[in-house]
Amino acid sequence: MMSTGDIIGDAVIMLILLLVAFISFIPLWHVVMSSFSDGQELLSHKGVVWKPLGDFNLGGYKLIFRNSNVIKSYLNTLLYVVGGTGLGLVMNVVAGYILSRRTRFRPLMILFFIITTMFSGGTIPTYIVIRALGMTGTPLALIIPGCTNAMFILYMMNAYMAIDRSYEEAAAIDGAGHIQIMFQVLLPQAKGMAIVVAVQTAILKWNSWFEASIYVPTQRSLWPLQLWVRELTTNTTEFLKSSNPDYNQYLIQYAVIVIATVPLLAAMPLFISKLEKGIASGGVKG
Amino acid sequence: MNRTIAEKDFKLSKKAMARKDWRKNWQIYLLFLPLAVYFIIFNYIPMVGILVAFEDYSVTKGFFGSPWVGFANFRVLFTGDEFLIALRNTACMAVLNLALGFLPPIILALLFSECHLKPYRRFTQIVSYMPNFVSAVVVCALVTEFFGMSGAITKILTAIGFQEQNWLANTQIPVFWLIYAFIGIWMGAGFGSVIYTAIISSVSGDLKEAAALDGANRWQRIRYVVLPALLPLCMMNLTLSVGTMFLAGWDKVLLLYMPKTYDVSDVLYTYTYRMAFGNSVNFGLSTASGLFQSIIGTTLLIVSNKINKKLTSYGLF
Repeated sequence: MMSTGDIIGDAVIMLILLLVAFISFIPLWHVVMSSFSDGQELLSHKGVVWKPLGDFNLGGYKLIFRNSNVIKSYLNTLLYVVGGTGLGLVMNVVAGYILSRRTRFRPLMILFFIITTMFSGGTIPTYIVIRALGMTGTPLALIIPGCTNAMFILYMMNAYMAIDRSYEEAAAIDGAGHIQIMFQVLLPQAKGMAIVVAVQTAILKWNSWFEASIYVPTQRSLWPLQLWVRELTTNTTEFLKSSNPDYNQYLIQYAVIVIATVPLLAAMPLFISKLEKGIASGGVKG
Repeated sequence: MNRTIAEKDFKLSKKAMARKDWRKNWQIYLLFLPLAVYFIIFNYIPMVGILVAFEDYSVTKGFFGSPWVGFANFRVLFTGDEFLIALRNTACMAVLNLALGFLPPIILALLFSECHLKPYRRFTQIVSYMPNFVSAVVVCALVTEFFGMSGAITKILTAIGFQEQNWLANTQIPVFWLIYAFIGIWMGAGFGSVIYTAIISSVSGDLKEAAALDGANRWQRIRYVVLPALLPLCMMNLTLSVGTMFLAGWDKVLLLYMPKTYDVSDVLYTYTYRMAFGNSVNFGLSTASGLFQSIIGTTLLIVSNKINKKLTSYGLF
């Protein structure tokens, strides 16, 4: 039997959670609704835009998709995400396997990775190295560096270590080599963690902007979407200086935020449970 | 006599073991090679590159050609107001972020675990995760909008008696710092609760039911069953956050600050950035400032990890 106190408690908790969800969601809602609004009305509006102001208007999106730079940047982002995640996935799978084998130099190899979690050269030395490699001003600077890190590799190692050894022993007796054991025997059982790490890499790459701003600062044709978001959300009222301003110009900033944010949020249901599981298992094991 | 033979045997067997290991695992070592190259290029060489902090680095002369200047760059740093202000701001903002940002994920996890209407709980959970997946650029655009002249938050603040203004341009002391801490909470509280929720759900069940049968009310259940189970993780996360508070997450300042507010908003990260990519480029100074930041950061990380190991027997490394 629930007491009145419990019922009130439940109601208060549900109310607070609703408020949390509201605060989490409303800025995004505001942007989506603004992007469908009338530019001139929006310009003079104060506070949250709950529903499209004026007539439903796709003018901002039309301008965005007429802008070949933005379309190009979308493709660039896809290239960086797919390239970086793919390369990172291969490295995580292989490195995790290497570190999970009982080899003579295993402790040394693990130390080799752990040191990189404690010390780093920082922005400038990394920049100097990447420039010396001739990667600045090319897409490679945004694909190759940062596609994996020691933590991801150690997560992968733990996933392999958690698998019962009898599987690989049986395969080894059947004459399977390392490559076969890794891909055919162990990876299918560790693929949960491989996916979690790949998703995290993809999110990092999709949302990254700083690297592009220093490695391809002037090569606009290589900019990822996020740099265009930054470009288009600053100086948003420049257009007012023209004698006959097109108020849809004002909507561009909202439209670009929507197209840069919604795909990831829409994909969330696909990976969120896996991500939660990965975090839970990583955290519980310490 | 016997001993030398034993030693010889031991050496032999060590050699034999090495040979056996190589025969059995040479493919593993071969696979390790490309990974080692990757980490040497992108992690270890930049570590050596830190020596730029002790050079009067010039782009044309390069790393090997630039003259050594010892600690001159650091002398310049510590005698310049700009750097000291950035240092103060970094320290204050790091502490404030931690102080305000530490509890919300825990409280949120407790609330989620006490919400027994499953679909409702799942829905609010997923919505609360969403800000975590929004990029820094977009978040900062939203902040600029909501705290700007006609922003929603400005409107609320005006309604409760503050002067209408662009809050990001405010140079009074805790304003920018509070906004920054708020961003951290908005983005991180929801998704940060995942780890605590996992722990809570791993205790719950039987123990909670037993406590309820014994007549424990909701608060008593939380206080005597859930919180004790959560405490080790809380301690671990607290020490870890102390360890990392100097190191990560400063790129949003770069997107939000403006020359007018440098006195309150400039941090080591942005100072380092300006010295490298701003109008007056000085790679030596920039690297020195970056090095200083990572020395503090790494020291905090190692110390906090030590404390952590003592307290909870868990450690990051």
